[in-house]
Amino acid sequence: MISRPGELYQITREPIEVQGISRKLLRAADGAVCVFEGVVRDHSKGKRTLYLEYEGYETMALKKLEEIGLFVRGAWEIGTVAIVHRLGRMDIGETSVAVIVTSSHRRPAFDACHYAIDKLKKVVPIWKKEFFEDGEVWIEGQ
Amino acid sequence: MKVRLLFFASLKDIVGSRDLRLDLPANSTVGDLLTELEKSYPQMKAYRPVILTAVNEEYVDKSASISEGDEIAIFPPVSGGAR
Repeated sequence: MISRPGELYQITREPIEVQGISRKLLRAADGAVCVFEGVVRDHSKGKRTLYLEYEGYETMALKKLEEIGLFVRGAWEIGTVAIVHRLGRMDIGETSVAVIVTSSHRRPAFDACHYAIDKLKKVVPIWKKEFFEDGEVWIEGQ
Repeated sequence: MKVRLLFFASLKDIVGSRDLRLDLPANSTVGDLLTELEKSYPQMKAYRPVILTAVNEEYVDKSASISEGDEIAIFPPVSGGAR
């Protein structure tokens, strides 16, 4: 975990407490909190998903989360940022990843949050395996 | 020179291990390493066009050179997802 005033980057195996993190980040000067949560859905390509397992190259993944956070802090007028990814087994409806951005006004928070999750999906070395009734498969990018 | 290899996701399944130690000729590149691994694990060849590599936790391309003691990670594209 990397934690500094106004920043949090973490790879965890525990449930992500989004509400607690966002309340802790929030500064008096902030008028907006933008939260993106990626959650486990119950289907993939027409098949029913039972649960997922996430695996990561943890040390590199943490570095990449920090790089993304530092970038968005430089690129937008935001107050604080937290990027947290969970690994291990997760059931339907559980949060696997959260990006939380606070700012004085809403627009930079939306934009930074959107950029951060898109970038995360491209560069952070984490993979998911979907488990179905009749098998399992790694979901890998292109 | 001795290096440490890390494999993830489907590449880990192909190799059957997350963590290998290997002795490589001096001046090897990441591409040389992949070619060497493909001899032992032919299934890796299919991944060659998309495989990602990192040396000491930084992404590198296949022409990057390897040094004694490096940690080289080999993995498929990250999970991406529809937008």
